[in-house]
Amino acid sequence: DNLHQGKVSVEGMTCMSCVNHIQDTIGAKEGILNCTVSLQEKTATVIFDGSLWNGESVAEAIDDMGFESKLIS
Amino acid sequence: MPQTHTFEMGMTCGSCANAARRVLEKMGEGITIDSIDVPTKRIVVTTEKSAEEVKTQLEKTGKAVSGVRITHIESH
Repeated sequence: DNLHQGKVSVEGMTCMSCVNHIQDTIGAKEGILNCTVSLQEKTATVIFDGSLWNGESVAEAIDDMGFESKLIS
Repeated sequence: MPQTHTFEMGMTCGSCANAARRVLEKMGEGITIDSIDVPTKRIVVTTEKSAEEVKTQLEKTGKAVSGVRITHIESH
């Protein structure tokens, strides 16, 4: 399988409900295997299917939700 | 001419309001954010765009959005 892990920055989160909301919403998307958000680090680590997603598109998906997000690694 | 629309969206904290503001700002010109109020979960905008278009954009935040009503038509 074609699994990759990406790390993106996530600005604008203030509480756990935002963390859970992002994790649930991104995690539910097709081709996303896991999405773990760190409130302290203001990052999200996402495991995704490389044929459907890449780091940039993951950051864009989070940004589309209204949380500024950029690719870190 | 611009119309004012009121939406109800499941916002629980300040950053949810910011997220709503950001997605609305991504719609570019032709939309004014009149108010975003977390306690009442109300978002009021004045725009020439359709209520549907604004609702679809707000739904990108992943939150449930319901159109409340077109409160009044403003003539500029």
